[in-house]
Amino acid sequence: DSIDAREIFDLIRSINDPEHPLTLEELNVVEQVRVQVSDPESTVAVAFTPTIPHCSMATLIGLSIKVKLLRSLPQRFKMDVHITPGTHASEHAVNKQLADKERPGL
Amino acid sequence: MKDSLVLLGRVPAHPDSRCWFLAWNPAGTLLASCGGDRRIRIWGTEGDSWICKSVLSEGHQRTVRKVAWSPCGNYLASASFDATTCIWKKNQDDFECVTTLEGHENEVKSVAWAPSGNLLATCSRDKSVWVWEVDEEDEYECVSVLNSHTQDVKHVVWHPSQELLASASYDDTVKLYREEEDDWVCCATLEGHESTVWSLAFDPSGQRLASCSDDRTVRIWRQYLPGNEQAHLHQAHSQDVNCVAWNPKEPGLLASCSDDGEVAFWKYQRPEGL
Repeated sequence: DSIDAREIFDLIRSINDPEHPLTLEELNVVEQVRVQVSDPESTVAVAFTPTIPHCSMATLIGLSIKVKLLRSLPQRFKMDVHITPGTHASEHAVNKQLADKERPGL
Repeated sequence: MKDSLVLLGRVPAHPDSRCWFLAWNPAGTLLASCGGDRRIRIWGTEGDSWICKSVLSEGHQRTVRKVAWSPCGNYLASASFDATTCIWKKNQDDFECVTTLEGHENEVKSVAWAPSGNLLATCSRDKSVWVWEVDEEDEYECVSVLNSHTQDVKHVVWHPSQELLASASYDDTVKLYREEEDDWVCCATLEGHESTVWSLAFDPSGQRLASCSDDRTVRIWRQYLPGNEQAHLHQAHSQDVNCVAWNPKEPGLLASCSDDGEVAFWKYQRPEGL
């Protein structure tokens, strides 16, 4: 059974925001339309939207999404978690941290 | 007749984890591998098969990221995310950890022996590069802590014939170091990559330095006094380029590998007239 965007979204929608008593879905930080999957190519791309452009929790939120996917998906999948373009002041720096495969915990 | 690459064998070297690095010993008879299972394995041939000759398992508490053989082939150094570097001494098929080098504040990313065998370099996520001296009694002493990079240092490599050290970093640069008047100093910074530089390799002549990066390019650098010049830039792979290696015997033959799972082979030629 091939993995699709809905299945990926179901894995991440209930992750709690670190600061507010709400899930990432409730805060519109993650949306199914911003999830792209290719099962034959074993790739997943998730764009997440921090609630404000200077959100200091952006890296932490990105990591929680990435870790959830790493723990839930088959090892063959290559994960790309990044900030929705134009929605954060330090988008490049945060994306670079999330892409570093030597990062502890990833 | 077409070129071919024939598979000789495949071994489950680091089960349920990632195999991070490989190093052939100078004699070409053994291959050391290391990985996320915190172990180092030494592989050799028995007839037509590749078998595991040793497992070095008591050295590190976390992932072993790189291994490096000393030029004489009697020692193996291992760099680990546990912030230490182990020095293993080979005694026939056995390896014994003779020293553990401490000092880095967090994950050690790379270790490399100078061609003389008397110097060792390590680098870390703590942004520093350390130079160590080894004496005749196998005692190690840190002789320099270099804080030139502004981010995680991913790789260090020595020039094949000079005491010149190169480092690659998350800060997108390559830096070169040499000893000047008894002090190690950063003598050059190579800028051009647009993202993390993961690895470096000098060609056997030492005249070219290849670097590879998260920006998906391989760049070839040539020394051009008084500064340095980027000789060539190539879009190498569709994902992160993790490693570049020059063939030790055939000039201009370069291999690169990537997160896209591929190894690419390149022929580098200096343009006529330059």
